[in-house]
Amino acid sequence: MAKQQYDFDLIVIGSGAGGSVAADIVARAGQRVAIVEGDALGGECPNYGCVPSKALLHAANVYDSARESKKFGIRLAAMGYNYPSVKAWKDQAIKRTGTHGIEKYYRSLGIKLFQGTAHFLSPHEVTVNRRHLSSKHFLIATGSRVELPSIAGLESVNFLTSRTALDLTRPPKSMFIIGGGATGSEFAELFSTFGTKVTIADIAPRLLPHEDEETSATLEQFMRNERGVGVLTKAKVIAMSNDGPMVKVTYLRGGEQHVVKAEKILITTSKVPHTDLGLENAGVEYSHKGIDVNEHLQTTAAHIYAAGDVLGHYMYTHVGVYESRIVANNILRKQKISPDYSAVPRVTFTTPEIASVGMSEADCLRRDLDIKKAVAPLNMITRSNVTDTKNGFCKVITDTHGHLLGATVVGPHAGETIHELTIAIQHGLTARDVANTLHAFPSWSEIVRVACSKIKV
Amino acid sequence: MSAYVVKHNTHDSESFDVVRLHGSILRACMAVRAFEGESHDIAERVCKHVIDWLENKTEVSSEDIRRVCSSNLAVYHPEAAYMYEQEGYIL
Repeated sequence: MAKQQYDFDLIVIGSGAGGSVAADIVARAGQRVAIVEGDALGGECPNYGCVPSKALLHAANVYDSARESKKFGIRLAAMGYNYPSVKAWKDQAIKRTGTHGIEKYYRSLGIKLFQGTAHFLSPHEVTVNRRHLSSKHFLIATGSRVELPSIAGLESVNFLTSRTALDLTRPPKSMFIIGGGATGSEFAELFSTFGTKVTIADIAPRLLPHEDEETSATLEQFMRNERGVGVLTKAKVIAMSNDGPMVKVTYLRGGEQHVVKAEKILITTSKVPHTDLGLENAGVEYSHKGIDVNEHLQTTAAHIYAAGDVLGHYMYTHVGVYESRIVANNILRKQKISPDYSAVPRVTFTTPEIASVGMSEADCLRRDLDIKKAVAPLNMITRSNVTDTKNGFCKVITDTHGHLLGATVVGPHAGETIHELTIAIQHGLTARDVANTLHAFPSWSEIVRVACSKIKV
Repeated sequence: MSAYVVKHNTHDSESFDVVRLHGSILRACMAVRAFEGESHDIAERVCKHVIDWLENKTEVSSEDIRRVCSSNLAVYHPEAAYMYEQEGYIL
């Protein structure tokens, strides 16, 4: 009878990666589940994030490969692109993710779907479009939003965000990107391939400041030399204003004030967790950085869990999915489990592709760890020769006993290659274990074997 | 403005009344000897913050209004914010 005290056993707020997986698992276990979604079903990733941006990047890479094909003896009579068709391809990729028709799928599982923003009224009650819903458990998976930087005149110019830039009907003639992280770098890659004169600026001393220095240097070099991208590191944008059809950007760099004009401004600075849902009424503590959770992903109100970007640490879809599964387990079983973040892979889909896992060298230095490291340049392996690809390397970091702590792969298919190192780190393998594993010749993965074999214990 | 406010004690829902909120802020400001003109100005600014915050919400609690109002009022007049928090002026 106590079960009927609430309308549901679990209400999931947000249908993205952090929410949908738990909703699915808990509903399959026979519990009464509801999902509340205030935006597009499926959340950021399939609608406005990873899926559309990677679909566009794939088209850009195909176009780039075609342009480069001459050196392999391939002749193309005409080279060009039709951006509306490229955009149509992106829309098709979104449709194929499964978020279309997902309502029917949820219905088949008995999951109730509520469209609207959820707001807590009390620890066990939310309001959605003035309808009050109660539940025994909640999962907050509301994701994150772009935090606009404080720049004078920003509100008066028509700027783009990572969401709106995906819907441009043509590549602009020039673009000024604020933010040199993964998202900014990927957009620089995308639009520069289609002929846009791109300038990317960041207050940090290098692009991808969270990655190792070699990684940033390789990317910066490629962006400057191969793509013609203007890279402005240690640059602080201070003002913006309209100047006819262009936008005038004023920035400080090296103690001097500079002005540059661009047709479009793209802001890809940091994201902040979306926490404006009356958490105070539910007794859930949070900060600007995200919702506070314990090792079982419970908030300060034990029956309310949180997963995904709203936690504010690893803002990746795969981490959201992982945390969502853990929350489902902790709701359904008495034996609670905790997430293990020791081997979270990260991929930046630029050229060269950049993937890393575990600790960076800077992380190890901050922790005062004694480490060994080895770097193997990509041109040491045959695949590099047969594809004429020279940019890239594999770097591995181990403790003094050779146990892998972190790794970076820069080069083609790095996003795939990184996973053998992810397994190695998660399961405490040594560099020798990886080096003694057979790697097919001539594959990109050989670079991992070469780097690991360079670690001498 | 279509937001509704769920009252803390009765759990009844009623339409958000900006005039009432304005009056509450005004009284809090006047109670700490702020000038009348200044009080009106502060109340107007704080109400605007609250209205902006309510923009994408259909229903909130009276505690939410109190909290958002108080945190914004503290920016303009910390003493009035304290008075507002302590007194039962809300809605």
